[in-house]
Amino acid sequence: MDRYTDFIEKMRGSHPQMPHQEEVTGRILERIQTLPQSGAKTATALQKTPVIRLRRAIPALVGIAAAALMVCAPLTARLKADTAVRTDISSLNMRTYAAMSRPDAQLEHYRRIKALKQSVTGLEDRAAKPQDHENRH
Amino acid sequence: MIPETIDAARNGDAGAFALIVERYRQSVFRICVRILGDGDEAEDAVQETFVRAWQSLQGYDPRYSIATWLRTIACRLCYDVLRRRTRRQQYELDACRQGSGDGSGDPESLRMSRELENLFRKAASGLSPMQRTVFVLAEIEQLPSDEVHRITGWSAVQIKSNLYIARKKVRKAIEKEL
Repeated sequence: MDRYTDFIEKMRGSHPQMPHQEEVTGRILERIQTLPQSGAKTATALQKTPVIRLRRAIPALVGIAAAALMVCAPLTARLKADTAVRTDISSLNMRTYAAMSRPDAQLEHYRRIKALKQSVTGLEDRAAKPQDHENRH
Repeated sequence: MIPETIDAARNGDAGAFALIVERYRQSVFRICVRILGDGDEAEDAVQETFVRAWQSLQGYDPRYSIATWLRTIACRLCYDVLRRRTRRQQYELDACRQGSGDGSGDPESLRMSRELENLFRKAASGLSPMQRTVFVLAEIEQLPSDEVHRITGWSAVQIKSNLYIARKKVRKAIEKEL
């Protein structure tokens, strides 16, 4: 028999006695004289009550909220930027699905359209100049 | 315990309740002193257990043993005391605390019993409240796991894993001490 088993066997065989049995019993009986009996169940299991559960869940909930905020803040900023680009693009005359699919594509498409518009405006200006010259003569 | 005595106590008979106290105070004390590791605190827990039992006797389900019901109240009280102690970081072994001796009256067996209880206090000082409660109920009191479950409300897996860890820790401590 090893030390542990020997120790446990001795513990099982030992019956510690309450030193002040009669005093404790007397105090119990004295206290119950003034206490009414109720139907409340106090001997439920060692499960956590809803209040304890809630109190313990508070730090976790705060953590989850902080994490959500940290994730959501950049996303919201990006969403705002995307909305601004989208609004800008919506004023342009374009119906390309690809241009609406990703913000990068939208920007690229926007720049290309803007460049084309500028070049078209330039060409129109240049085309208009000789006409003026011709008209003058 | 005779069902009539329990019924009388449920009807407010303090004399019948006194019989219940006399019958079960030692078994309740044994669990309390081993979970708490302190004789004075265990006596307070016994007192509180029976006062709460009196208050809630109307809610007692006679289908179950009154001993199990009293153990449940006592364990819940002791577990709360242990948890508060841990929270305050005052869970230190006080070897000078007076334990409780065996009731045989023989000075030698009394000394042996106190030494044993002190050794257990040292060995169990490294256990968490849950491990300590499960260890006392399942290993020392040798209660079947379904009764430990009924008393504590913890799952079979929780009981099994805590008992495993507690056994390992106590074994290590015992081998170091002896």
